Amino acid sequence: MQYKIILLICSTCFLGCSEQPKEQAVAQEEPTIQTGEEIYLMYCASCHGQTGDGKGLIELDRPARSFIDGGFSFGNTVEAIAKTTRSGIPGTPMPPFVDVLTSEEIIRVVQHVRQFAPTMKEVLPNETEMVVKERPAVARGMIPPIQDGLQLHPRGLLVGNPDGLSYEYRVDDVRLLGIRQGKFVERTDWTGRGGSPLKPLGIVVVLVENGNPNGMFQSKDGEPLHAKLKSTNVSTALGIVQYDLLDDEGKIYATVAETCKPTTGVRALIEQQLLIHAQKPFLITIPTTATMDDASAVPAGKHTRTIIHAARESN
Amino acid sequence: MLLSMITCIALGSPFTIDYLSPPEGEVLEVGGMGFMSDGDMVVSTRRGQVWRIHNPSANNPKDAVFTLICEGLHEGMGLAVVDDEIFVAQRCELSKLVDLDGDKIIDEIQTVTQDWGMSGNYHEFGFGLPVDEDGNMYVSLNVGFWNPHWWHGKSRAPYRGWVLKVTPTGKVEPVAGGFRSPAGMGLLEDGTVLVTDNQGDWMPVCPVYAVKEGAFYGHPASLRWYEDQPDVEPSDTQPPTVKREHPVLWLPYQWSRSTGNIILDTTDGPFRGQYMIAELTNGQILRASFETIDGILQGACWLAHKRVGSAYHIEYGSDGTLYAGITNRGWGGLAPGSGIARVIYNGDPPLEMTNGHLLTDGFVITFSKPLTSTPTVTGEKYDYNWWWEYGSPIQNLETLQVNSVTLSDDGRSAHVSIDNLEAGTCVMLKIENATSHDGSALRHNEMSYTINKMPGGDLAYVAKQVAPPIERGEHVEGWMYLTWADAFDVWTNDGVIACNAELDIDNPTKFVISDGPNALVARSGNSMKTKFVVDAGTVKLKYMLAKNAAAEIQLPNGGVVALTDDDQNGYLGSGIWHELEVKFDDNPRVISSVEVNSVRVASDVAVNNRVATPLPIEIRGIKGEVAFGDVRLQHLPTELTREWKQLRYDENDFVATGVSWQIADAGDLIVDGSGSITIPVQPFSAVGFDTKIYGNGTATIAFGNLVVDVATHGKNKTGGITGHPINANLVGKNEWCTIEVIEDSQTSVFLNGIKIITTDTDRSIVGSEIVISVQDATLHLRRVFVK
Repeated sequence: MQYKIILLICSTCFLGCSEQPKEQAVAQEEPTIQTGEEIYLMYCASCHGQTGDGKGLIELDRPARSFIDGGFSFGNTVEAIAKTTRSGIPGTPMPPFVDVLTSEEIIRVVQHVRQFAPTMKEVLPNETEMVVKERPAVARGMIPPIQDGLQLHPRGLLVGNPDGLSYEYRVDDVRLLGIRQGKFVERTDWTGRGGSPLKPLGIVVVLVENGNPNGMFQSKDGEPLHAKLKSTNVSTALGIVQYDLLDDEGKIYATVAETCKPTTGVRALIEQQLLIHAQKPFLITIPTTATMDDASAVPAGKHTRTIIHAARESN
Repeated sequence: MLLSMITCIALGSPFTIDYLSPPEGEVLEVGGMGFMSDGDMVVSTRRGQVWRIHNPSANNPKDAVFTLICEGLHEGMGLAVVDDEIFVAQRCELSKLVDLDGDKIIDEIQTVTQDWGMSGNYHEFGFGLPVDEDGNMYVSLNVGFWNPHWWHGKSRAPYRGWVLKVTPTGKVEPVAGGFRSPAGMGLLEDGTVLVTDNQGDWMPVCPVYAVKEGAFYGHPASLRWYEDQPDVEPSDTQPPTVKREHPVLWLPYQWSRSTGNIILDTTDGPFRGQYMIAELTNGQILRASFETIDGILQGACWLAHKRVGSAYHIEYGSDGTLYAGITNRGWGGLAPGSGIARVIYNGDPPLEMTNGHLLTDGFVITFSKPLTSTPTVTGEKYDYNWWWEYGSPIQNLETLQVNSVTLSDDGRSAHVSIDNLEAGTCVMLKIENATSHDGSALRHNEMSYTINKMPGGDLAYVAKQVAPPIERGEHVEGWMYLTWADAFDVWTNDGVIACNAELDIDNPTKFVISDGPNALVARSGNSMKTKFVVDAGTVKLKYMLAKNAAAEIQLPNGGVVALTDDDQNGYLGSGIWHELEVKFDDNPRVISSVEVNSVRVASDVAVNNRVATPLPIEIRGIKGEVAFGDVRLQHLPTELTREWKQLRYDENDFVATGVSWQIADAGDLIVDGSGSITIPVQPFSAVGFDTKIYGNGTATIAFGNLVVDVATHGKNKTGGITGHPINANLVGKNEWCTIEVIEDSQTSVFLNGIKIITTDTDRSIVGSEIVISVQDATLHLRRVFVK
């Protein structure tokens, strides 16, 4: 029963005392932000040691990690250590802190933990990240729903250009779903047994028809034409996606080579350029969210059409 | 310097194994392999990369030059080079990789075809890529695995579980189905497509099939894509009535647990004309030869090269070197787990069996060199079950009655006369006392032969149709997983650590340890013993020894099973995970059986070491480094009915909030959702019940103040009670268990008949209601008995 009495005294002080012990004065202020070090000393040091050497006061069957040695169970980036801190390590005494610390507190304590390691080498790009360098890059794999409520696409395609823009396609009808800006893609299927969807890293700056566009091509009679992937090409400055347009009977109407890039000088507009070699005339129905520079009817022969997408503010 | 010297493992024999060195930091998880006309090797990897390797046959393996020529593919589990054009089987399509400007770097990836289905399931790998004389390419497609019954593979998109032919124009023609995880392909000398499959549901062990168009190979999931079959998901448990085609070989489980591709040996080495088979888990290469008996293809197999690493795809180079593309990520297997091994023939022919030819009364076995004298031959025959269970133990094991062995005049062949050979069995022959004139001993002395047909006799299945076993998850099987989740929770641990472990190929007396949950590693003197005792049961675990290491399993009845790094019985060698199953009993006090990788190594061994009361199960490191894991114990609980009475409740009295409930036909109460249900009952002082949980959430059952946890997620796992949590995941998701709580002077909790908690608490089973609370889960409750 003793602690109840103490609480009572405290609350009395809180209401009326003028002379207060120092600790309680602190406690009365707006909730203070604890530094990473303070959080560390409170929650981590008992096992990992005050200096991060893994020699805490609690004796464990499996010694706690020494941060001084620079090793971390699941990666040494802030995100990786934060994840470990949030979720704990099953099968070890490392508990999850997700219900104990706020996300901000976890980040602060992780930043503190990272300081223990003498030469913290940032693993960038990390092992499973695919980075676009001087050439465009293409990544094939499953792509997760580009927006909540949409489908996973078992066959997906990402084209990354050196300018930091990347283009996300579902392959079954070769449709551009969205345009991203930033890092390219995390090859999450490089871990475990494989078979998990890719994780595109860029921020979506264009979502074509809410990420679930309709077919874009029809015969002159309005019959839908099916786009079938023919190739991807990274030999020029911009990645090229090439496809055939076929009717239900498999008759080829056209071959289209598609490239995408920001319009000169105006990054907020992105053009999807179609180099068309049409054997038969057909129609293009552009996404409701876009505009096109020329007529929707495409006669037989070689033609270009440029579909322009307006990008959202990416910041 | 040290590294390069030691990574070259000399076998002291006709073959040397070494490893090419990929660029630092690069991991080559090889799925496909081929050669360009200039001798460069090209490999595709599970990471969707394609590497071109110049000078792969360099004297010093470090001199091979690696260039990344393509990346970003959706896995590359098959590769073919046709007229210097590179084709890759991606998970999503068959592609041609084109270098447009002659710099050897791939510029364009052309789709050859995508005409097969993918549902998005992780297990839907696509493999390949043999090319026949007419330029047709072949791919094989895995079925998918879904929860909760992942062991029932499903074909939820067209042609999963099939082999497909892709014609040179890119047209897809389905060839045959009934496959499960057909991870390796190849071609017979006559162009027939060969496929290996992986042990699991409807695959008792790993088979090799010679694929006939339109035939069915035994896994029912893909039957729906046959034109004459309904497009429905077949029964999970009932065998289909469609005629099955026989494999040409069933590979003994102790030799192959995850089979890769198969290739014809066309080199001038000692195995010309025979077939080599990659084996991933045990990290070795097998050899096979086939023969036709009355029109039926079947054959023999042997071990060829041990300790290669996790070989998934093998190919011969033009110099006769056997290259093994290695990968085991997520699957496990002998180290190394990635890269490229070379098995180099030194030109000194080994003494091996070269062929096994079946006769009505035995075998003619030929040898690569003349023998000095007649060898001794013993053998066994056995068959398997064809059922939905994951793999099949050996069934109907019988000793072969070897009448006589007659060595030919030239010493090159032996006629082994056997009385009791029969179709529908596999035979394992063991040859002893065989030496050649130059003093070599037989390099591998066991031969396995798959008898689908005896000459002149009838065809019979080796994998026999049997009554389907009871569906898992339908009754209490009694298995407890002692090292799942918190691996140390139910153990008293003395120094064992949880980590990932792989044999250090530079110092095989040690493991390379890294962070991870896959192994418990003990060094000499370390041990783990259970905090509870049982009198009888079955203990299963997997173990791996470093070179020269030893460990012991102390059984409750005083018996001890010693695990040593000695090449005998079912033991395969250091660095390889083995499965151990030990049955022990208290009355009579015996070790009823010991099996290593399903090979019976001991039975009915009397235990003379008397112990007064049962001991905890203890796993001890004796010498060197040992790894173990997935320790399971089966101890079936006694029937609850003894002096208990079944609890009656009136469903009209149920008060449910946030959950739905139903009483199933079998009388099970099923509570689903997030919330609770309150059931008024008569007071009682002891309770026992069967329960299981499915879903990602948790549940509790409160009997008065006593709250019992039922959960496979979260912190408090099944079997814990108020104030006494269980952190090990002792019972799997969707598996029935029996929980009994008895209060006398103490409160005791029995899980599957094992007392896992004893506590001196005040009586807590008071009150007259049961409250079942579930969070995002489905709880089943059956047979609630009280006292």
